[in-house]
Amino acid sequence: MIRLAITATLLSLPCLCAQEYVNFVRQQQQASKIIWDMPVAPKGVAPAVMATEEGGALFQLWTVSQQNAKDYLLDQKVVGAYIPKGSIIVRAADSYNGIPRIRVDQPFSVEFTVSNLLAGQNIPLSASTVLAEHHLVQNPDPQTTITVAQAIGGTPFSSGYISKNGMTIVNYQASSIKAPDPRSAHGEEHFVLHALSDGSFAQTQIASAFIKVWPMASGKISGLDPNAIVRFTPPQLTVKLDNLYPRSSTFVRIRSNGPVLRNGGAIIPDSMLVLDQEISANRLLTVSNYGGFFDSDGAYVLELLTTTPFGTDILDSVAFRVNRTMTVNSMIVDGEAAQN
Amino acid sequence: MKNQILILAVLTAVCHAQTAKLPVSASDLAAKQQNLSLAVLEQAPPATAEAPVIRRASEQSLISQSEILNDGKHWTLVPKGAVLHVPQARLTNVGTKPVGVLLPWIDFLTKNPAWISTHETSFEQASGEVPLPRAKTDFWEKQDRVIIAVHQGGPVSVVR
Repeated sequence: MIRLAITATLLSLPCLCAQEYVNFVRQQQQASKIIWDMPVAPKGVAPAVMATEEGGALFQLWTVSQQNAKDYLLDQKVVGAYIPKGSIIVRAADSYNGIPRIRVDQPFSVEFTVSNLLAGQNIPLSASTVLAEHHLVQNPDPQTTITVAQAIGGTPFSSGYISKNGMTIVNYQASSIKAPDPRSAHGEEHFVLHALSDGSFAQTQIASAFIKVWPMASGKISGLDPNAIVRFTPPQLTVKLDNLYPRSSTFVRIRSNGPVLRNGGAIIPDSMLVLDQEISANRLLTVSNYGGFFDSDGAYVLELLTTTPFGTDILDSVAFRVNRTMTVNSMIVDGEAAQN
Repeated sequence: MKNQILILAVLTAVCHAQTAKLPVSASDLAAKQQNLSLAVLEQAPPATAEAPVIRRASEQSLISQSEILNDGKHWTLVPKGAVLHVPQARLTNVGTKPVGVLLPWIDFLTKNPAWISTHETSFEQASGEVPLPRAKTDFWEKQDRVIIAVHQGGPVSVVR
């Protein structure tokens, strides 16, 4: 009897509300073609009561939307007495409810763990080797959902064979998803382990995992010309922000243009934007009432910064001068002398 | 609570801002993306006479592989082949389009005990190795109930 851990990876869907989705775990016996639906809760462990045949069984985790009766295949794997076992863990600097996610320029690693492989002479390929695949999905719209079938149904970006039991770690220095400007690339990277079958299996996937990839943020401060001179009330600023990381703090900082001030400068409270959500975001902010941050006349710089789990990046900066010293040009005239 | 989160975010931002850096350029990122592949793994399977077969997930649909049951307000789905008997009076309850609220199988069964019965089916019966008991199939013909094959509580397809 197989104990099957069922964790519905519903995070790839737009909404996580349990009432809006109903889950199904379907077991398909590979040899006899019997199909059985396992009663499941949204999260938990349940025994697969149907005996696993020699040819293996395909377990599929589905969820169906109440709203439009659309079904989503969330995960699937083939298990069997004579099929190698595998698991994949993607490790990244950020994770959201267990789903690893990363920014396109950041590193991550993938751990493939394989067991039950046999070594020796005349061992069938299906028992001695598994195939690891790497699939890339560019998602044109982060609001839409990519199904697993869409993600891993096509030709892989790359692949390789594993013929030793144990863990194999592959490190990536950045995402492999490409775009005309690679900083704006986003989507998902899926990793799959396949058993090598004799063709009798409907599916050969024994493990899978994926990581969500978000683009790098960009931003622009407008309303204050570079090298402008500010006298008294500074102009209102418009801050355009694109592709903010789902978990980030973004703000405008004022500091002297020269040696960094104590505490690195002052954050304009009106400009602070804190995100902690599923998807990236675009925003347009207006910032005013920052004239009180200038201690004295001199050169200053406005910096647009975004802080993510990967550090703080400078998205834009504008240098300017403050000059509030009043120069009064006057002339003293002696009244008596004037009368003469 | 929200204010505390905001303050924490500000403090974190202030600390991180000490080491703010310019983001990586497009050309530098493109250079980092070179040679990112599973090429570090073996690129050929061990020499063998067998030709490895890979079957990837293709477009599939749970609903198209299932039979839909509905009571006018709710619906559920069971594997095709799990519906063993449908009386004439219940034809509108089986095989229609999804209508109303989707329920897990066990909840739908609980709401509709008046017209659904289940038949506990063995692995051998489901695979067709052993036929369904003749006495049962004859009995169902005289009933006004939809009969669903189940195995330990879950609906199961039956090869007939």
